[in-house]
Amino acid sequence: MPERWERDLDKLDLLEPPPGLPDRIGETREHGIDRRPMRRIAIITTSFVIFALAGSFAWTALRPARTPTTTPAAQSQLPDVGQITCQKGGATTSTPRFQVQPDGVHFAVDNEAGLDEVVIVGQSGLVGRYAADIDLSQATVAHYAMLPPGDVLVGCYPDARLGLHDEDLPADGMVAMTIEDPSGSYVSGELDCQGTEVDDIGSVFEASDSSSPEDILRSALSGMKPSDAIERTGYLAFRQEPIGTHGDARLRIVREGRVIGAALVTVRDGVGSGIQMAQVCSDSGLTTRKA
Amino acid sequence: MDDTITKPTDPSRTEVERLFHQVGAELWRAVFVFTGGRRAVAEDAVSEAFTRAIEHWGEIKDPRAWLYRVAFRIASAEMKHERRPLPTGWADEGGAAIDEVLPILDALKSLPPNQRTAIVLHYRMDMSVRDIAHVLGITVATTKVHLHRGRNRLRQMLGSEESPDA
Repeated sequence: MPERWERDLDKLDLLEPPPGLPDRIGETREHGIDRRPMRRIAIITTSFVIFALAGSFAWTALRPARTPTTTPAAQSQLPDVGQITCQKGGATTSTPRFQVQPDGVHFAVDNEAGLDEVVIVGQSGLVGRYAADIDLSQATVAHYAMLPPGDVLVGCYPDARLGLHDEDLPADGMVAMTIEDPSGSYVSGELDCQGTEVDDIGSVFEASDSSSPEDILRSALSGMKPSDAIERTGYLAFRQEPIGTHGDARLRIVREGRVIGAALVTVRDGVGSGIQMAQVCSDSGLTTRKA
Repeated sequence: MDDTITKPTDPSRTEVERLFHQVGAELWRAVFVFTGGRRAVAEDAVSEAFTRAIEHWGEIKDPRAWLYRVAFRIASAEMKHERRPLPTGWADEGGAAIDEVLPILDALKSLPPNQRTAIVLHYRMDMSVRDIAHVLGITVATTKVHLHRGRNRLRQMLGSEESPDA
């Protein structure tokens, strides 16, 4: 006998797709073209801001006052863009080791074989295997603000391969690359929950006058200790980016050197603010105030 | 504008339209739930996925899996660019029968996106764990964790009401 939640799932069939949906098949490209100029402007604007931020932080990072984890000579030897060449026999790279930039990981693709997509897979402990792709019909450069440093596998594929399973991908010739982070730009949001469960906290979204993502997170959770530290995660440029009245921040909660929680906090002026999603170690005692 | 598609009457379109009648509605529902009720995003993602299927029809080996993967990828990309907050309700989303569906929609919305999507794909669309992992771009192990946690959360919120011999 199915449980109640399973029976309720069956009711999803009552949801009716928009009646005009079938008519849009084949027409979406036209609709998409109408939207693309605005999207291009948005992308260009965003890229410009990110580029300016990256330049600013790169300048800061190169100052001698910093304390790098590797020697400056070692840093300068590493390229800061991962170069991928898509050939018929598979992907190759001239940069098997490269380093992050202050705003994340950058790739550039030389699409010799005229393929459709680059797939990048790596390891991220919080969510398992990280997977990303570059749609080569749209761009041959890509920037990932959430891809952690570490080892990744990269492959090039025709679009139709999207229907296959991940396990089939390496057969087509993926290439291994190592992303270095010599200046320690990346702060991980991975939880230190060894020996305990990870609890998911759903969205807590309501009107709020809280000004900072840190205040929003602290007010949304119970079980926080005064000594618990809330820190931004991700790459340097985004950790230092002001959120203001409209933006998202990824945060982690550190208790006695242990990461016990991670959250995506959204700030929307005039609409409300809150946690879009969060995970906590089950032994942390953290929960939402509404729970 | 040269690449504008104007509904070609080729065999691929006929096949894709037939496929739409088979899986179009269920795909839209899955993307609708995944996006937390963003009706426009779900509609764009599904129609765009089918349009791309026409273009690549001869190369696609598993059309259903392909459509799911592409539609979810498009929806994910749309949401990354979207600046609006999550819709606060479902009242104007999904047609007239919304009242009956509201409890499960509200319960699903309280789950993280990948968790609620894994639940719907597995228990409503009969999709395998392996296929769900591919659709969401995550590992099989992570998918199993999402299913386990999602089940527990739904039981807590909606009750299990299991039969004595279940």
